Amino acid sequence: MTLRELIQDIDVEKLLARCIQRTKFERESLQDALYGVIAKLLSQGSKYDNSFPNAMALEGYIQTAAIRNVIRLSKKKQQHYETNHEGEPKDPGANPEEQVVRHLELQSMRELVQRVMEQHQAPRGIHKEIRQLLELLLSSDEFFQVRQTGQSKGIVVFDIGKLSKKLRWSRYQVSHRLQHLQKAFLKENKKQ
Amino acid sequence: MTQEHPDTKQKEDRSSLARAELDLDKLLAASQAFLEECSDEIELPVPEEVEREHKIAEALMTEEAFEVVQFEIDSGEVPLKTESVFDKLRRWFWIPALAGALATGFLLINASEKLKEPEQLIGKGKTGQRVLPKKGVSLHLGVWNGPGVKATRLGNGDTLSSKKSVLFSFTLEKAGYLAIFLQKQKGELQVIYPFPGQTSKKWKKGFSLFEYKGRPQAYGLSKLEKSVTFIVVKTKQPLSSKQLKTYLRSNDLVSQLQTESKKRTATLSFDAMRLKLTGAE
Repeated sequence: MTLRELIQDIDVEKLLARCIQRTKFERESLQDALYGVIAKLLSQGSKYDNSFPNAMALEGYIQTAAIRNVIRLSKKKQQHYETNHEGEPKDPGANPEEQVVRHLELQSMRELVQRVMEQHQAPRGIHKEIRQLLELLLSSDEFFQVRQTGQSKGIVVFDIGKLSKKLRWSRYQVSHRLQHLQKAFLKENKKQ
Repeated sequence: MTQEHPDTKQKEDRSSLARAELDLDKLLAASQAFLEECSDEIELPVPEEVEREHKIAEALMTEEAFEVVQFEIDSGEVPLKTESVFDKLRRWFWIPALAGALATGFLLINASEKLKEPEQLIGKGKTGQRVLPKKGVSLHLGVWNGPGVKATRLGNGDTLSSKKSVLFSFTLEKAGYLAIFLQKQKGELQVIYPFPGQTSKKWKKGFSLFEYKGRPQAYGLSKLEKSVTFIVVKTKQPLSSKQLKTYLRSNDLVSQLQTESKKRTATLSFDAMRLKLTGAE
Protein backbone atom coordinates (compact mmCIF):
# COMPACT_ATOMS: atom_id res chain seq x y z
CA MET A 1 0.00 0.00 0.00
CA THR A 2 1.21 3.47 -0.79
CA LEU A 3 1.52 6.11 1.89
CA ARG A 4 -1.37 8.02 0.36
CA GLU A 5 -3.64 4.98 0.66
CA LEU A 6 -2.59 4.43 4.25
CA ILE A 7 -3.23 8.08 5.12
CA GLN A 8 -6.78 7.76 3.78
CA ASP A 9 -7.44 5.14 6.47
CA ILE A 10 -6.37 7.37 9.33
CA ASP A 11 -8.95 8.73 11.75
CA VAL A 12 -7.41 12.09 12.59
CA GLU A 13 -9.95 12.93 15.30
CA LYS A 14 -9.22 9.71 17.15
CA LEU A 15 -5.50 10.27 16.76
CA LEU A 16 -5.84 13.80 18.06
CA ALA A 17 -7.85 12.64 21.06
CA ARG A 18 -5.15 10.07 21.82
CA CYS A 19 -2.39 12.67 21.59
CA ILE A 20 -4.31 14.99 23.94
CA GLN A 21 -4.89 12.18 26.38
CA ARG A 22 -1.22 11.14 26.32
CA THR A 23 0.29 14.59 26.65
CA LYS A 24 -2.36 17.02 27.96
CA PHE A 25 -1.01 19.53 25.45
CA GLU A 26 -3.27 22.12 23.81
CA ARG A 27 -5.63 20.74 21.21
CA GLU A 28 -4.74 23.44 18.66
CA SER A 29 -1.01 22.83 18.85
CA LEU A 30 -1.45 19.10 18.49
CA GLN A 31 -3.90 19.50 15.62
CA ASP A 32 -1.49 21.84 13.88
CA ALA A 33 1.33 19.38 14.34
CA LEU A 34 -0.73 16.38 13.20
CA TYR A 35 -1.79 18.02 9.97
CA GLY A 36 1.71 19.41 9.57
CA VAL A 37 3.22 15.95 9.80
CA ILE A 38 0.71 14.49 7.35
CA ALA A 39 1.31 17.37 4.95
CA LYS A 40 5.06 16.89 5.22
CA LEU A 41 4.73 13.17 4.53
CA LEU A 42 2.53 13.84 1.49
CA SER A 43 4.89 16.52 0.22
CA GLN A 44 7.72 13.96 0.08
CA GLY A 45 6.04 12.06 -2.77
CA SER A 46 6.77 8.34 -2.75
CA LYS A 47 9.71 8.57 -0.35
CA TYR A 48 7.77 7.00 2.52
CA ASP A 49 5.75 4.54 0.45
CA ASN A 50 7.29 1.41 1.93
CA SER A 51 8.10 2.76 5.37
CA PHE A 52 4.92 1.65 7.14
CA PRO A 53 3.46 -1.84 7.00
CA ASN A 54 -0.08 -0.71 7.92
CA ALA A 55 -2.23 2.23 8.97
CA MET A 56 -1.66 1.48 12.65
CA ALA A 57 2.11 1.75 12.28
CA LEU A 58 1.65 4.99 10.39
CA GLU A 59 -0.67 6.36 13.10
CA GLY A 60 1.93 5.56 15.75
CA TYR A 61 4.57 7.32 13.75
CA ILE A 62 2.40 10.40 13.09
CA GLN A 63 1.53 10.58 16.78
CA THR A 64 5.18 10.49 17.83
CA ALA A 65 6.25 12.93 15.12
CA ALA A 66 3.44 15.35 15.98
CA ILE A 67 4.13 15.36 19.72
CA ARG A 68 7.86 15.79 19.20
CA ASN A 69 7.17 18.69 16.84
CA VAL A 70 4.87 20.38 19.36
CA ILE A 71 7.64 20.21 21.96
CA ARG A 72 10.31 21.35 19.53
CA LEU A 73 8.22 24.30 18.34
CA SER A 74 7.19 25.25 21.86
CA LYS A 75 10.85 25.36 22.82
CA LYS A 76 11.54 27.46 19.77
CA LYS A 77 8.77 29.85 20.74
CA GLN A 78 9.89 29.74 24.36
CA GLN A 79 6.50 28.51 25.45
CA HIS A 80 6.18 26.53 28.60
CA TYR A 81 3.58 23.90 28.86
CA GLU A 82 1.98 23.27 32.19
CA THR A 83 2.89 19.65 31.72
CA ASN A 84 6.60 20.04 31.67
CA HIS A 85 7.71 17.36 29.26
CA GLU A 86 10.96 16.83 31.14
CA GLY A 87 8.97 15.40 33.99
CA GLU A 88 6.34 13.63 31.92
CA PRO A 89 5.00 11.05 31.69
CA LYS A 90 3.96 10.05 35.17
CA ASP A 91 2.38 6.67 35.10
CA PRO A 92 3.32 4.65 38.14
CA GLY A 93 1.40 1.65 36.83
CA ALA A 94 3.42 1.44 33.64
CA ASN A 95 6.22 -1.07 33.37
CA PRO A 96 9.76 0.25 32.68
CA GLU A 97 9.47 -0.37 28.96
CA GLU A 98 6.15 1.46 28.69
CA GLN A 99 7.64 4.37 30.61
CA VAL A 100 10.58 4.63 28.23
CA VAL A 101 8.27 4.32 25.23
CA ARG A 102 6.18 7.16 26.61
CA HIS A 103 9.32 9.24 26.96
CA LEU A 104 10.08 8.44 23.34
CA GLU A 105 6.81 9.97 22.25
CA LEU A 106 8.13 13.23 23.61
CA GLN A 107 11.69 13.15 22.45
CA SER A 108 14.03 11.13 20.31
CA MET A 109 16.14 8.37 21.79
CA ARG A 110 19.23 10.53 21.20
CA GLU A 111 17.77 13.36 23.29
CA LEU A 112 16.49 10.97 25.91
CA VAL A 113 19.82 9.20 26.29
CA GLN A 114 21.64 12.53 26.41
CA ARG A 115 19.38 13.72 29.21
CA VAL A 116 19.45 10.49 31.14
CA MET A 117 23.22 10.19 30.92
CA GLU A 118 23.70 13.80 32.01
CA GLN A 119 21.42 13.29 34.98
CA HIS A 120 23.12 10.02 35.74
CA GLN A 121 26.45 11.87 35.67
CA ALA A 122 28.09 9.24 33.53
CA PRO A 123 31.81 9.79 33.00
CA ARG A 124 32.60 11.48 29.71
CA GLY A 125 34.25 8.39 28.24
CA ILE A 126 31.27 6.16 28.97
CA HIS A 127 28.89 8.82 27.73
CA LYS A 128 30.78 8.98 24.45
CA GLU A 129 30.80 5.22 24.07
CA ILE A 130 27.09 4.97 24.80
CA ARG A 131 26.38 7.58 22.15
CA GLN A 132 28.52 5.63 19.69
CA LEU A 133 26.65 2.46 20.58
CA LEU A 134 23.30 4.20 20.25
CA GLU A 135 24.13 5.56 16.79
CA LEU A 136 24.99 2.06 15.68
CA LEU A 137 21.78 0.63 17.10
CA LEU A 138 19.75 3.32 15.37
CA SER A 139 21.48 2.71 12.07
CA SER A 140 20.36 -0.84 11.33
CA ASP A 141 18.05 -3.65 12.32
CA GLU A 142 20.87 -6.16 12.13
CA PHE A 143 21.85 -5.45 15.72
CA PHE A 144 18.59 -6.80 17.10
CA GLN A 145 17.26 -10.28 17.31
CA VAL A 146 13.83 -11.56 18.11
CA ARG A 147 13.77 -14.67 20.24
CA GLN A 148 12.25 -17.46 18.19
CA THR A 149 11.74 -20.04 20.89
CA GLY A 150 11.36 -20.58 24.60
CA GLN A 151 9.85 -18.57 27.39
CA SER A 152 11.17 -15.33 25.93
CA LYS A 153 9.75 -16.00 22.46
CA GLY A 154 9.07 -12.77 20.63
CA ILE A 155 11.27 -10.67 22.86
CA VAL A 156 13.68 -8.30 21.16
CA VAL A 157 17.26 -8.57 22.35
CA PHE A 158 20.52 -7.00 21.28
CA ASP A 159 22.93 -8.91 19.09
CA ILE A 160 25.96 -8.23 21.22
CA GLY A 161 28.17 -10.30 18.95
CA LYS A 162 27.49 -8.12 15.92
CA LEU A 163 27.71 -4.95 17.98
CA SER A 164 31.06 -5.89 19.42
CA LYS A 165 32.39 -6.84 16.00
CA LYS A 166 31.28 -3.58 14.46
CA LEU A 167 32.48 -1.42 17.33
CA ARG A 168 35.60 -3.49 17.85
CA TRP A 169 34.83 -3.67 21.52
CA SER A 170 34.77 -6.76 23.64
CA ARG A 171 31.39 -8.30 24.21
CA TYR A 172 31.77 -7.48 27.85
CA GLN A 173 32.24 -3.83 27.05
CA VAL A 174 29.12 -3.74 24.86
CA SER A 175 27.14 -5.56 27.48
CA HIS A 176 28.37 -3.29 30.26
CA ARG A 177 27.60 -0.11 28.35
CA LEU A 178 24.10 -1.37 27.61
CA GLN A 179 23.66 -2.28 31.20
CA HIS A 180 24.89 1.16 32.24
CA LEU A 181 22.23 2.66 30.00
CA GLN A 182 19.61 0.28 31.35
CA LYS A 183 20.44 1.25 34.92
CA ALA A 184 20.28 4.95 34.03
CA PHE A 185 16.83 4.45 32.50
CA LEU A 186 15.57 2.45 35.44
CA LYS A 187 16.85 5.09 37.83
CA GLU A 188 15.16 7.74 35.73
CA ASN A 189 11.89 5.79 35.76
CA LYS A 190 12.04 5.45 39.52
CA LYS A 191 12.43 9.19 39.92
CA GLN A 192 9.26 9.83 37.95
CA MET B 1 11.32 36.48 26.85
CA THR B 2 13.15 36.76 23.60
CA GLN B 3 11.74 38.97 20.87
CA GLU B 4 10.77 36.97 17.80
CA HIS B 5 11.40 38.24 14.33
CA PRO B 6 8.09 39.61 12.89
CA ASP B 7 8.52 37.66 9.63
CA THR B 8 8.92 34.40 11.51
CA LYS B 9 5.86 35.13 13.60
CA GLN B 10 3.79 35.98 10.50
CA LYS B 11 4.95 32.81 8.76
CA GLU B 12 4.09 30.65 11.77
CA ASP B 13 0.64 32.22 12.05
CA ARG B 14 0.02 31.66 8.37
CA SER B 15 0.94 28.01 8.43
CA SER B 16 -0.95 27.49 11.67
CA LEU B 17 -4.03 29.11 10.17
CA ALA B 18 -3.67 27.05 7.05
CA ARG B 19 -3.66 23.85 9.09
CA ALA B 20 -6.57 24.91 11.31
CA GLU B 21 -8.85 25.03 8.30
CA LEU B 22 -7.68 21.70 7.01
CA ASP B 23 -9.07 18.25 7.00
CA LEU B 24 -7.63 15.06 5.63
CA ASP B 25 -9.46 15.20 2.31
CA LYS B 26 -8.23 18.71 1.63
CA LEU B 27 -4.69 17.66 2.42
CA LEU B 28 -4.89 14.66 0.12
CA ALA B 29 -6.12 16.87 -2.69
CA ALA B 30 -3.71 19.73 -1.98
CA SER B 31 -1.00 20.90 -4.33
CA GLN B 32 2.67 20.28 -3.65
CA ALA B 33 3.27 23.98 -3.02
CA PHE B 34 0.48 24.08 -0.44
CA LEU B 35 1.70 20.95 1.33
CA GLU B 36 5.18 22.40 1.56
CA GLU B 37 3.88 25.73 2.80
CA CYS B 38 1.85 24.30 5.64
CA SER B 39 4.56 21.90 6.74
CA ASP B 40 7.64 24.03 6.46
CA GLU B 41 8.29 24.03 10.21
CA ILE B 42 7.75 20.34 10.63
CA GLU B 43 10.68 18.01 11.06
CA LEU B 44 10.06 14.35 10.42
CA PRO B 45 11.93 11.72 12.37
CA VAL B 46 13.26 8.85 10.26
CA PRO B 47 10.52 6.15 10.44
CA GLU B 48 13.02 3.30 10.69
CA GLU B 49 14.77 5.09 13.55
CA VAL B 50 11.51 5.53 15.45
CA GLU B 51 10.91 1.82 15.10
CA ARG B 52 14.43 1.04 16.26
CA GLU B 53 14.06 3.40 19.22
CA HIS B 54 11.20 1.20 20.38
CA LYS B 55 13.28 -1.90 19.83
CA ILE B 56 16.09 -0.40 21.93
CA ALA B 57 13.60 0.45 24.67
CA GLU B 58 12.18 -3.05 24.57
CA ALA B 59 15.54 -4.79 24.60
CA LEU B 60 16.91 -2.50 27.31
CA MET B 61 13.93 -2.66 29.56
CA THR B 62 13.23 -6.34 29.17
CA GLU B 63 14.95 -7.93 32.07
CA GLU B 64 15.46 -11.11 30.05
CA ALA B 65 17.74 -9.25 27.69
CA PHE B 66 20.39 -9.30 30.36
CA GLU B 67 19.50 -12.54 31.93
CA VAL B 68 21.40 -15.54 30.95
CA VAL B 69 18.87 -18.27 31.17
CA GLN B 70 16.84 -17.90 28.07
CA PHE B 71 14.63 -20.91 27.81
CA GLU B 72 13.77 -24.29 29.05
CA ILE B 73 14.20 -27.07 26.60
CA ASP B 74 12.39 -30.29 26.02
CA SER B 75 15.24 -32.10 24.36
CA GLY B 76 18.97 -32.08 24.96
CA GLU B 77 19.61 -29.87 21.97
CA VAL B 78 20.00 -26.14 21.97
CA PRO B 79 18.95 -24.56 18.70
CA LEU B 80 21.37 -21.95 17.52
CA LYS B 81 21.25 -19.76 14.46
CA THR B 82 23.88 -17.07 14.77
CA GLU B 83 26.78 -16.46 17.06
CA SER B 84 25.84 -13.48 19.18
CA VAL B 85 26.64 -13.32 22.85
CA PHE B 86 23.03 -13.95 23.60
CA ASP B 87 23.22 -16.99 21.40
CA LYS B 88 26.25 -18.04 23.31
CA LEU B 89 24.39 -17.39 26.49
CA ARG B 90 21.49 -19.28 25.02
CA ARG B 91 23.73 -22.31 25.20
CA TRP B 92 22.99 -22.19 28.89
CA PHE B 93 19.63 -23.61 29.68
CA TRP B 94 17.66 -24.74 32.63
CA ILE B 95 17.31 -28.35 33.38
CA PRO B 96 13.91 -29.51 34.59
CA ALA B 97 13.90 -29.98 38.34
CA LEU B 98 13.77 -33.79 38.51
CA ALA B 99 16.39 -34.24 35.84
CA GLY B 100 18.46 -31.64 37.68
CA ALA B 101 18.29 -33.71 40.81
CA LEU B 102 19.39 -36.78 38.84
CA ALA B 103 22.26 -34.83 37.34
CA THR B 104 23.26 -33.46 40.73
CA GLY B 105 23.21 -36.88 42.27
CA PHE B 106 25.14 -38.42 39.46
CA LEU B 107 27.81 -35.77 39.40
CA LEU B 108 28.02 -35.81 43.15
CA ILE B 109 28.57 -39.57 43.18
CA ASN B 110 31.14 -39.26 40.44
CA ALA B 111 32.85 -36.35 42.12
CA SER B 112 33.17 -38.33 45.33
CA GLU B 113 34.39 -41.35 43.31
CA LYS B 114 37.00 -39.14 41.78
CA LEU B 115 38.15 -38.12 45.20
CA LYS B 116 38.44 -41.78 46.19
CA GLU B 117 40.60 -42.56 43.20
CA PRO B 118 44.26 -42.96 44.06
CA GLU B 119 46.04 -39.90 42.72
CA GLN B 120 49.62 -39.13 41.90
CA LEU B 121 51.96 -37.43 44.36
CA ILE B 122 52.60 -40.47 46.49
CA GLY B 123 56.08 -40.14 47.88
CA LYS B 124 58.70 -42.64 46.83
CA GLY B 125 58.78 -45.65 49.06
CA LYS B 126 55.52 -44.71 50.76
CA THR B 127 52.37 -46.68 50.32
CA GLY B 128 48.90 -46.45 51.64
CA GLN B 129 47.62 -42.97 52.32
CA ARG B 130 46.50 -41.08 49.30
CA VAL B 131 47.70 -37.51 48.83
CA LEU B 132 45.28 -35.24 47.11
CA PRO B 133 46.60 -32.40 45.01
CA LYS B 134 45.95 -29.13 46.79
CA LYS B 135 44.00 -27.60 44.01
CA GLY B 136 41.44 -25.45 45.72
CA VAL B 137 38.93 -26.13 43.00
CA SER B 138 38.04 -29.22 40.97
CA LEU B 139 35.93 -29.02 37.87
CA HIS B 140 33.60 -31.89 36.99
CA LEU B 141 31.80 -32.15 33.67
CA GLY B 142 28.87 -34.29 32.67
CA VAL B 143 26.82 -34.79 29.50
CA TRP B 144 23.23 -33.73 29.70
CA ASN B 145 21.21 -36.64 28.32
CA GLY B 146 17.78 -35.07 28.44
CA PRO B 147 15.05 -34.81 31.06
CA GLY B 148 14.74 -37.78 33.33
CA VAL B 149 17.94 -39.40 32.08
CA LYS B 150 21.07 -39.60 34.16
CA ALA B 151 23.92 -37.37 33.11
CA THR B 152 27.12 -39.08 31.95
CA ARG B 153 30.32 -38.12 33.65
CA LEU B 154 33.10 -36.81 31.42
CA GLY B 155 36.79 -37.17 31.96
CA ASN B 156 39.58 -34.92 30.78
CA GLY B 157 40.18 -35.50 27.06
CA ASP B 158 36.90 -37.33 26.50
CA THR B 159 35.20 -37.12 23.12
CA LEU B 160 31.58 -36.17 22.68
CA SER B 161 29.22 -34.91 20.02
CA SER B 162 29.02 -31.18 19.58
CA LYS B 163 25.25 -31.62 19.55
CA LYS B 164 25.42 -32.43 23.23
CA SER B 165 25.39 -30.08 26.18
CA VAL B 166 27.50 -30.23 29.28
CA LEU B 167 26.76 -29.82 32.95
CA PHE B 168 29.26 -28.29 35.32
CA SER B 169 29.90 -28.97 38.93
CA PHE B 170 32.71 -27.99 41.25
CA THR B 171 34.30 -29.11 44.43
CA LEU B 172 35.79 -26.20 46.33
CA GLU B 173 38.30 -26.54 49.12
CA LYS B 174 37.13 -23.23 50.52
CA ALA B 175 34.24 -20.96 49.58
CA GLY B 176 35.07 -18.49 46.84
CA TYR B 177 34.15 -16.84 43.58
CA LEU B 178 34.31 -18.58 40.23
CA ALA B 179 34.92 -17.66 36.64
CA ILE B 180 34.57 -20.15 33.80
CA PHE B 181 36.50 -19.64 30.59
CA LEU B 182 35.97 -21.49 27.38
CA GLN B 183 39.02 -21.91 25.20
CA LYS B 184 38.36 -22.91 21.63
CA GLN B 185 40.58 -25.02 19.39
CA LYS B 186 42.39 -22.00 18.02
CA GLY B 187 43.06 -20.61 21.48
CA GLU B 188 40.30 -18.02 21.38
CA LEU B 189 39.04 -17.37 24.89
CA GLN B 190 35.59 -16.53 26.06
CA VAL B 191 34.14 -15.95 29.51
CA ILE B 192 31.03 -18.02 29.98
CA TYR B 193 30.63 -17.28 33.67
CA PRO B 194 30.09 -14.77 35.28
CA PHE B 195 27.40 -13.78 32.83
CA PRO B 196 27.75 -10.42 31.06
CA GLY B 197 27.11 -7.53 33.38
CA GLN B 198 27.11 -9.72 36.47
CA THR B 199 29.65 -10.85 38.99
CA SER B 200 30.07 -14.32 40.34
CA LYS B 201 28.11 -15.31 43.39
CA LYS B 202 30.05 -16.76 46.31
CA TRP B 203 30.17 -20.53 45.88
CA LYS B 204 30.15 -22.59 49.02
CA LYS B 205 32.83 -24.98 50.16
CA GLY B 206 32.45 -28.56 48.92
CA PHE B 207 30.46 -29.86 45.99
CA SER B 208 28.10 -27.62 43.99
CA LEU B 209 26.26 -28.24 40.77
CA PHE B 210 26.38 -25.20 38.55
CA GLU B 211 23.03 -23.51 39.07
CA TYR B 212 21.51 -20.19 38.25
CA LYS B 213 18.57 -18.90 40.24
CA GLY B 214 18.34 -22.26 41.91
CA ARG B 215 18.11 -24.23 38.69
CA PRO B 216 20.84 -26.45 37.24
CA GLN B 217 22.33 -25.24 33.98
CA ALA B 218 23.69 -27.00 30.94
CA TYR B 219 25.87 -25.49 28.24
CA GLY B 220 25.32 -26.26 24.53
CA LEU B 221 28.39 -27.10 22.50
CA SER B 222 26.96 -26.60 19.01
CA LYS B 223 29.05 -24.50 16.63
CA LEU B 224 32.17 -25.27 18.63
CA GLU B 225 34.83 -27.10 16.69
CA LYS B 226 37.24 -29.96 17.29
CA SER B 227 38.07 -29.32 20.90
CA VAL B 228 37.23 -27.05 23.76
CA THR B 229 38.83 -26.48 27.12
CA PHE B 230 36.79 -25.35 30.07
CA ILE B 231 38.88 -23.51 32.63
CA VAL B 232 37.45 -22.67 36.01
CA VAL B 233 39.21 -20.10 38.16
CA LYS B 234 38.45 -19.72 41.85
CA THR B 235 39.36 -16.51 43.64
CA LYS B 236 38.86 -15.05 47.09
CA GLN B 237 37.25 -11.95 45.62
CA PRO B 238 35.18 -11.74 42.42
CA LEU B 239 37.33 -11.05 39.38
CA SER B 240 36.94 -7.50 38.14
CA SER B 241 36.16 -6.88 34.49
CA LYS B 242 39.73 -5.58 34.14
CA GLN B 243 41.13 -8.86 35.44
CA LEU B 244 38.82 -10.83 33.19
CA LYS B 245 40.00 -8.78 30.23
CA THR B 246 43.62 -9.47 31.16
CA TYR B 247 42.92 -13.18 31.17
CA LEU B 248 41.03 -12.96 27.90
CA ARG B 249 44.06 -11.37 26.27
CA SER B 250 46.29 -14.18 27.44
CA ASN B 251 47.87 -16.38 24.78
CA ASP B 252 48.12 -19.30 27.14
CA LEU B 253 45.74 -18.92 30.00
CA VAL B 254 46.50 -22.25 31.63
CA SER B 255 50.23 -21.46 31.83
CA GLN B 256 49.48 -17.98 33.14
CA LEU B 257 47.19 -19.38 35.80
CA GLN B 258 49.76 -22.01 36.72
CA THR B 259 52.38 -19.33 37.27
CA GLU B 260 49.99 -17.19 39.28
CA SER B 261 48.75 -20.04 41.42
CA LYS B 262 52.29 -21.08 42.31
CA LYS B 263 53.11 -17.72 43.87
CA ARG B 264 53.32 -17.74 47.64
CA THR B 265 50.78 -14.94 47.83
CA ALA B 266 48.46 -16.63 45.35
CA THR B 267 44.78 -16.28 46.12
CA LEU B 268 43.55 -18.13 43.08
CA SER B 269 43.30 -21.72 42.07
CA PHE B 270 42.09 -23.25 38.88
CA ASP B 271 41.20 -26.43 37.11
CA ALA B 272 40.78 -27.19 33.43
CA MET B 273 39.20 -29.91 31.34
CA ARG B 274 39.58 -30.49 27.64
CA LEU B 275 36.93 -32.13 25.51
CA LYS B 276 37.22 -33.35 21.94
CA LEU B 277 34.19 -32.69 19.81
CA THR B 278 32.83 -34.71 16.97
CA GLY B 279 30.25 -33.82 14.38
CA ALA B 280 31.18 -30.14 14.49
CA GLU B 281 29.58 -28.11 11.73
